[in-house]
Amino acid sequence: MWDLIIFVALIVIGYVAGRIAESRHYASIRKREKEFAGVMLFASRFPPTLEALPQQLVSGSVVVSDDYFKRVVSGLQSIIGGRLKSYETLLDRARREAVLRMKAEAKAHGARMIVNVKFETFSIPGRKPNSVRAMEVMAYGTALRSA
Amino acid sequence: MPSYENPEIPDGINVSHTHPLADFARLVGGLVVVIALVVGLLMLVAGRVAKFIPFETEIAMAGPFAEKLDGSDSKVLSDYVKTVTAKVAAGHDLPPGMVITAHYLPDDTVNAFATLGGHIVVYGGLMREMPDENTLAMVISHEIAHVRLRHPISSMGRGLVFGMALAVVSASGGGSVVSQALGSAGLLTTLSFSRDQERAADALGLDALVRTYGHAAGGAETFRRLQSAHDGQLRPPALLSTHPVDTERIATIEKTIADHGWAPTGPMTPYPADVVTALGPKP
Repeated sequence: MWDLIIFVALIVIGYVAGRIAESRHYASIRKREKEFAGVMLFASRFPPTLEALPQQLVSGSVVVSDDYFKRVVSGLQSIIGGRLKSYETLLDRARREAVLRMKAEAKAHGARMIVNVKFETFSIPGRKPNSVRAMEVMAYGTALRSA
Repeated sequence: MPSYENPEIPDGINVSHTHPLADFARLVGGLVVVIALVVGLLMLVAGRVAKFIPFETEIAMAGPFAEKLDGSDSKVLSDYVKTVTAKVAAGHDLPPGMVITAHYLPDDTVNAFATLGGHIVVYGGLMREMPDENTLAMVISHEIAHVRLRHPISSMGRGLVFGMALAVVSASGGGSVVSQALGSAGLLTTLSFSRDQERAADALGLDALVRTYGHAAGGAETFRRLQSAHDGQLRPPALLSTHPVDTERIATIEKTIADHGWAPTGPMTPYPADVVTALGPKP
């Protein structure tokens, strides 16, 4: 019986803590996205200007873990397949946070644009099952300083 | 340099807007329905298949626990219960190898039960509630009918499957159900029979009562007595109870007696004098 109680308690803790963390994080993301709107992102390898500008590699990385609730929901969902909705917000937050950290670095270098922006995603446990479930999302690109 | 701008990306375009709890409820609900269907099916199969376990195996399973059923302090009552049981068992067409062992327990519980290995337990409370041998014989006959129809072993089979299924969800919870079903606690308490099984045991028990005494007197009276003994106690509503409601039971028994043309009355066999003395008055 105790294992069931612990299981339910973990789900409740995971859900409550996860929801609070998520809404706080989104609030912070929205605020900083406005703050860093001045640093423009370009996916293209070629800078929009042919001027020779000083360059700098910038990157931003974030490591996120799921909570117990998300893990249980995704575990159940993976029985029948389909969209893992509980992980969508997690990875959305991770990508946006990585971009924000990259932008912050670029801004610190006095850059107003980043070209050739790319994302990398790593699974922390790799192929080991039953290990910690976390992801790293990394954004990197070439910051161009205004001359 | 041409003019560029990064437009503000609309918020929430990369996520689903289903509430996570709604998602959770949908998944858990679906899972519960599927598991309930599978477990229900397995329990049904286990209940049916258990009947094919030889009765000797059932006796061997019950063996280690059977001695716990002998808590009697009165040899007179113990012997009397065994005598009545043997008398009624003769009226049942028991298949070869099926042995009924009766036990008397000096508890005030108004109850009797049948369990694995042909063991039948009669409580002192029940004997005091029953006015004579015929009514007591009806209860014993009903319990023998359970054994004859192999209800205890199918009930245990169902219990085992349920316990094992529960063990998948909760190791300790399922484990305790399994050990209860297999252990002495299961032998004493957890066997529960369905209403259909109770009805079948009523019919078969009544038939053996008539064969033993030549008339059906006491058949319906037994349940009237049980009904009045149970009055004043909190009882579950008819739908939740596994035993058919007493009034419905009495009506069915009276109808069965009439349908078969059995004599509804006849000479009643009283309790022997030493039994009455040993039983004492109702508390």
